[in-house]
Amino acid sequence: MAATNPSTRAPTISPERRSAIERLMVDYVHAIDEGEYERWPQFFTEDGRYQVTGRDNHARGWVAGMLLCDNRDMMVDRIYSLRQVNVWEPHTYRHVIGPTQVLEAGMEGCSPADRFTAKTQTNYLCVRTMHDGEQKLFSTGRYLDEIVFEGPAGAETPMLRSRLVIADSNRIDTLLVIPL
Amino acid sequence: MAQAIGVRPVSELIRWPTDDLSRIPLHIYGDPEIYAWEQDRIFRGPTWNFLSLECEIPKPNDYVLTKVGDTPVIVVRTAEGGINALVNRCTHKGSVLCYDSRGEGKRTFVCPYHAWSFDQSGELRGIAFEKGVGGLGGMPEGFDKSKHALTRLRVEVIEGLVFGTFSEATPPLEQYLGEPMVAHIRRTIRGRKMQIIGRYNHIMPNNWKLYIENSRDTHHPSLLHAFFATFKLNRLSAEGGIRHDPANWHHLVFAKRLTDQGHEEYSPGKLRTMKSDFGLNDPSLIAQWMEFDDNITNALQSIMPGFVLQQILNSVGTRQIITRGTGECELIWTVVSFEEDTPEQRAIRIKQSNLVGPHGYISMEDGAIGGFVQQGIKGDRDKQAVVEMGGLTADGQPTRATETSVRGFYKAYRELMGN
Ligand code: FES
Ligand SMILES: [Fe+2]
Repeated sequence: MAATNPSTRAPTISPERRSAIERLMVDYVHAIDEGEYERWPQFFTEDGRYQVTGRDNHARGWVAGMLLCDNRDMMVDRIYSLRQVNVWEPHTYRHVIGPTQVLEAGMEGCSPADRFTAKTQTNYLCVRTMHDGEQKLFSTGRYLDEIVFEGPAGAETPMLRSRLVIADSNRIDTLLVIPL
Repeated sequence: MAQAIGVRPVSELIRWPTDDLSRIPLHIYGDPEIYAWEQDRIFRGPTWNFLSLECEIPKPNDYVLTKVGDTPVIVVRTAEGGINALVNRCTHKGSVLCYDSRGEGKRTFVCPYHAWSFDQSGELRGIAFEKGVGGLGGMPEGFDKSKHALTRLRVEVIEGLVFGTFSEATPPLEQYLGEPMVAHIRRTIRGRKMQIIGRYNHIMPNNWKLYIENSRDTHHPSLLHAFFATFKLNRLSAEGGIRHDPANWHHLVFAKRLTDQGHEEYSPGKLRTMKSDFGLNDPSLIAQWMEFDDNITNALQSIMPGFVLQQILNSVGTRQIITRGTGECELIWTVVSFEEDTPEQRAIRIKQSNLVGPHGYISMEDGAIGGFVQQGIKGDRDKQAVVEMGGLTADGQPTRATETSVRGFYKAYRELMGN
């Protein structure tokens, strides 16, 4: 019975918060797919963490991921480097994301200053298109996210406190410069 | 065993444009016949090939799969604690014996197809229905199982790095590496117990040789990798150099990033906090501690044919090239920490993994550049690459503005290929 299985018991989250999270998911991939890379760090809290890893690395507890950023400044550095420093053949991504599953949700503590947080996961599929038109299935996997609602009461917006991108394959073709 | 079957002899396939080492004919990056000879004469020839880290098979009967060139290989920790390497090909009809990339408790290897079974030394121990069924069928009386063992490689280990060779003619590992290379491997690992912290499987759109050349190309980093200059990491006054083994087959390039700043903070063991004038919003990326008494902060050691031992600041790891046909290869990056690391040191190594791998601030460009060459040479198989910087020979040189190490690779390549 679904009711007795804790993994299928839906955490309590208001429809407003749920749709705010869904907007975050969609906005994130559009920012990347449309090349608005400077917006990417802005989806994260200041101490936000972003990491790409492979499923096998993740399963084995190998924590040295790819594109590991443990604060927003590191993300800004990455994008600066992508724009100004690194040499790579021009290409873009197109992400297709699945529905977001809320794994946990609730207030972090009990005081009025505490914030609403949620743990979610979302499948993605990412196709890479090269400047000459060549297309390739670049990566599939899931986003394992920690989301925190920030901002003044009544106008809180969900931000990523942590996004762990668990790619199904440990292989990367040529290079990984644009975040997934 | 051979892959070069029905192909023309090497002497007909490769004509070196000059007697010296300064020219490379471009068709060697795309010719399937040459590729077949490389499998036989280089990967299965008198060379030591990196197989795995010893820490991947810590317990008796643990195994891990790897490749030597195209050849699939099982590396197994025997019940007695030794390490054997066996070709992962059943001697019946050729199926792989193991199809899961790693496992434990493997005392025998039983083929999934018809259940021939082999022990950890590769000896054929059992054949299903060997005596037939009800007196009918089965193997003939005179069938000699001892003639159908798995192909076994010689194995040697240095500092937790497991190497294997197919050839009886390969000298012992330390002799093959030469004293300067052995000394640097020992200096980098220092008997410490490795723990893997990450692995990246990097597919490169280029012939395997183009990556190996790149790993030995000492004058490209400050030109291709703008990260160094942009973030002011390129200290021109830093000491550096190149070391070779006596035969000029293997190569070590190193730099001492901090030697131009005679500050007590750079003394061994002291953690250095980077200042924001380095141009990064978050300079913690390049925070490092002086791990080695020699003050070397960057070192790449390239061992013929396809192995690299890396130290980029405190990011220590291995790179293993796997061939994938003429126009593609895979580079397996493994980054490690050591058992004795403090949590802070381990965190630094983890953060510095941003510098290496397919996503590496520096090394992502090495993933692209081989492909650029592979694209560029497509229409010009009759042309040649010019590798003349620093002369025509492969001698050790006191500068990095040279292509001597690339010539060293081709010295070894030509000796192995026999022309
Ligand atoms: S192929 Fe292995 S037993 Fe037949
Ligand atoms: Fe490079």
